[in-house]
Amino acid sequence: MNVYPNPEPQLHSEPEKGASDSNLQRNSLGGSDFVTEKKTLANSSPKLRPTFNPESESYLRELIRSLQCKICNQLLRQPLALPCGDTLCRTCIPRLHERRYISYPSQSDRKQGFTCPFEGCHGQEHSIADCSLDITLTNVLTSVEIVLSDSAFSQDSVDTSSFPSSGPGKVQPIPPDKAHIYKVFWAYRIAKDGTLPFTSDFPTPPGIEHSEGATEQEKQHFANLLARLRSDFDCQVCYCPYNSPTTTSCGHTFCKACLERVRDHSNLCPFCRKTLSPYRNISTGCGNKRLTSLVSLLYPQITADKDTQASEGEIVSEQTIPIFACAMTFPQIPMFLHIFEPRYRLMLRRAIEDGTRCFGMVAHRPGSVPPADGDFVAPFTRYGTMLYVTNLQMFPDGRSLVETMGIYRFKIISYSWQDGYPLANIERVEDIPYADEEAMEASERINGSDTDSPTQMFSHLSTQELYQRGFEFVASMRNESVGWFADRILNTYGQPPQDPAIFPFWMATLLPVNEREKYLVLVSTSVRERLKLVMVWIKAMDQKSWRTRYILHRILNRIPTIALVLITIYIFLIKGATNEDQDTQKSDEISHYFIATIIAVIAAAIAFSRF
Amino acid sequence: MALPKRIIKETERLVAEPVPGIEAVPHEDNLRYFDVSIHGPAQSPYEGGVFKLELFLPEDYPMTPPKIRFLTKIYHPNIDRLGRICLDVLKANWSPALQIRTILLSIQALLGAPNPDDPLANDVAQRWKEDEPGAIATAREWTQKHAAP
Repeated sequence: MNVYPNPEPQLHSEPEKGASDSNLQRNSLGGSDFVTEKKTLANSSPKLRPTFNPESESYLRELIRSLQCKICNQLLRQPLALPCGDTLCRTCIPRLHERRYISYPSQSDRKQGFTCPFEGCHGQEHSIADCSLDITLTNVLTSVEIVLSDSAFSQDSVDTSSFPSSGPGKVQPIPPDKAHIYKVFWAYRIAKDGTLPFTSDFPTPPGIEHSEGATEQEKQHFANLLARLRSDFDCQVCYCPYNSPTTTSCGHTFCKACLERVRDHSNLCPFCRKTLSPYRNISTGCGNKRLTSLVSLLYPQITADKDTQASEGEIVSEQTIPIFACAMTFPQIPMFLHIFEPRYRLMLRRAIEDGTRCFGMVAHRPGSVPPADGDFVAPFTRYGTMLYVTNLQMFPDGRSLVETMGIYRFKIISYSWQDGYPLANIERVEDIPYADEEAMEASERINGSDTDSPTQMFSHLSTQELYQRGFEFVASMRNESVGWFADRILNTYGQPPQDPAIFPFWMATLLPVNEREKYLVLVSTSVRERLKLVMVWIKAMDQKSWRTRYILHRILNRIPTIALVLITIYIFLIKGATNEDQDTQKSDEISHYFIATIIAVIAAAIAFSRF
Repeated sequence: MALPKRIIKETERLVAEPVPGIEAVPHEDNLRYFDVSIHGPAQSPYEGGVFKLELFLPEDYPMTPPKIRFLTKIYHPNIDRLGRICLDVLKANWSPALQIRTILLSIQALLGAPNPDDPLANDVAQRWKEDEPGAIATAREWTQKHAAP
C-alpha cells in the first residue's frame, strides 16, 4: 500500500508498437513488473506530448487515464490535490496518523498526516491541511460525465442495455460504424466501474470484430466536449487556459505565474479569500499534474502558444527595481529614512511617480564578503528587502522624510548604475515550504543536528519553544526596562510579532547585534533557523552577564546626581561652619557659595544630558 | 504596451452578453478607459435615472482594482461630490477574480441599498440617518434633475 508502483500518466503518450505490445503482455502479469517496464519507457520518451487525435486509441486512453485514480482505478471521486502535484480520491487516502515533533505552523489540522502512496514522492509525509478538494478537476469530471452520458452518445448510437458492466459477457456483435463510439464509451464506463487498470492500454470490448474509426457524429461530440470543458480550464486571473496550473490549499487553481503575481499584492485566495498557505507549491514548482496533463491533451495548440509566450514573458517578468544602499531592513518591519542625496531624491521621485511606491533597500558592505553573497561584487549586500513607501513628507528644499514598510526579501541577480543609483534585476526570496520546515524540525528533534554550528545547541527545542523563549526574553528585558525595548521604541516598531516567521526580523531590528549576525537572519529561508539564530544572540547576551554590566551602567549614569547631592550637603556644612565662626571674612563666604553653585550647575547639566 | 488578453476578453464578453441596465463601452483610442452608464435600480430613489460613470483599468489590473467615478451628480451617502465611490471591493476587498461586470453590478446594488453607516459624503449620510424620507426625496429630485435619460 505504501509504494504504489505506477508511472507518471503523461509519459505514456505515443508508445511505439513494440512497446505497447509488451505493455499488453505485462498487463497480464500485473504487479511490480510495471515499475521496471515503465521506467524504461519513461527514459526513452520523457516529455513527449501526445498528439491531438481523438481517433487514436492511445490518445483516448490517456484522456481517460488523466481522470482515473491511481489507487482504486476508478474515475476520481472527490479528487484531492496533494502538495506533490498528484491526485487521488478522498476515499483512497492512506490511513491518517498523528504527525509528531512538529510545532510550526501551529494549526491543529497540520498534526494529521499520511504517507504519500505515489512513487514520485518517495514515501514523503503530507499534512492533511495541505490537501484540498480540487475544484477544477471536480468540475471537469462533472462536465465529462454530462457529455458522455448524453443521450446522443449512448442510447442513440449504442444500446447501453446490452452493456456488459465488467468482464466479458455475452453480447451481440456491434456494427463496424458504431464500434469506435462504443469502444470509447465502454472504456469510460469500465474506468468508472474500476475494472480498467490504470496502467493498461485501451481495452477492446467483447463483441467488436472491426471498427471504422470515429464517425462524423462522434467527432462532433468530441468537439462539444472540448467546447464545454474549455471554460473549466481558464485561469480566473488571466482568463487564459492554465499555464503550469497550481492548486492552492483551498482547492482553487491558477496559473503559477498568476498566483505568484497575486501573492505580490495579497496573501488571500482571489476566490474565497482564505489565507493562501504561503509557500505551498508555488515556490517549489509542483504544479497540478492532472490538470497539466489534461490541458496539454485537450488544448495542445494553446499550450504550445503558451510555451512560447512564457519564454518571451520571462524577460519581461524579470523584475528590475531601483536600489537604495543604506541599511539593513527586514520584511514587515517599518523603516524611517531621511533622503537628502540628490540621486536618491531622484530615485524616490521616480518610484512615487510611476505609482509603485517601492524600492529595494540593501546594506552597505564595508568589510569582507559574507558567505551568503558568493561571488557577488558590489559595494552593497546581495540580499535586501523591498520597501513600500507608506508615508512621505517632502520639504521645500527637496529633502524628504520617508516612512516605509518592508514587504519581501530579494536577491540581486545583476545590477547596473543609472543616474547615480543602482538598478537591479532581482529574484524574490521565499521561505521554504511548510512541509520542509516541519521535516527539518522533526529530524532535528529526533536525531539532533549534525552541523557544528552555534545554533546546534537549540536543535532539541521545538520551533514553538524557540519562539516562546524569544518572546519571554523580550518580556523579561522589558521588566528590567532595557533601552532596546523602551516604550517609545515599541511605539515605533510595534509589539513583538505573534508570527514566529516575523519575530526574528523584529528582534534583528531592535537588538544591538552586529550587522553580520543580522545578515544571517535576513538570508535565512527557514523560520526555525532564524529563531535559532536569535536564540544564539540571547544566549550570548546572558553569557556576557549583561545584567551586571547593565546595573553598573545605570550606576555610572547616576554619578552626576549623586555628586549633586554631595555638593549640596557640603555647601550646607560650610554654611554651618561659617555661621559658627562669625569672624571669617565675608568675601570668603561669597567665594565658597560661588564655587559650589558653579559645580552644582555643571553637575546638573551633566545629569540632565545623560538622561 | 500591449493590452493583456484578460482585458480583451472581458470587453468582448461585456459586448456579447451585456448586463441588463449596465453599459460599458471602451474608448477607441484607449481601450483601458470605459464610458459606463448604469440605470438606477427599480424601487430605489434612483429609478428612472441613467448615471454616467468613467472606469479606468490601471496598468497592473487585475492585480489592482479598476478606478471608477460617477460623472453624473448623485445624492447618495456613499458617493461624494466628486463622484468617488465608497465600496469595499474597490479598495481593500478587491480580488483579481472580480471583474468589470461584477464591480458594476456591485455599484448598481449600492444604489439600491445606500449604507449611511459607512459614509463618504458626511452631510448626505447625516441627513439620511436623521430624515430618511427627506433624503430619499432629495435623491429622487436630483435623479430627475441630473440623471434624466
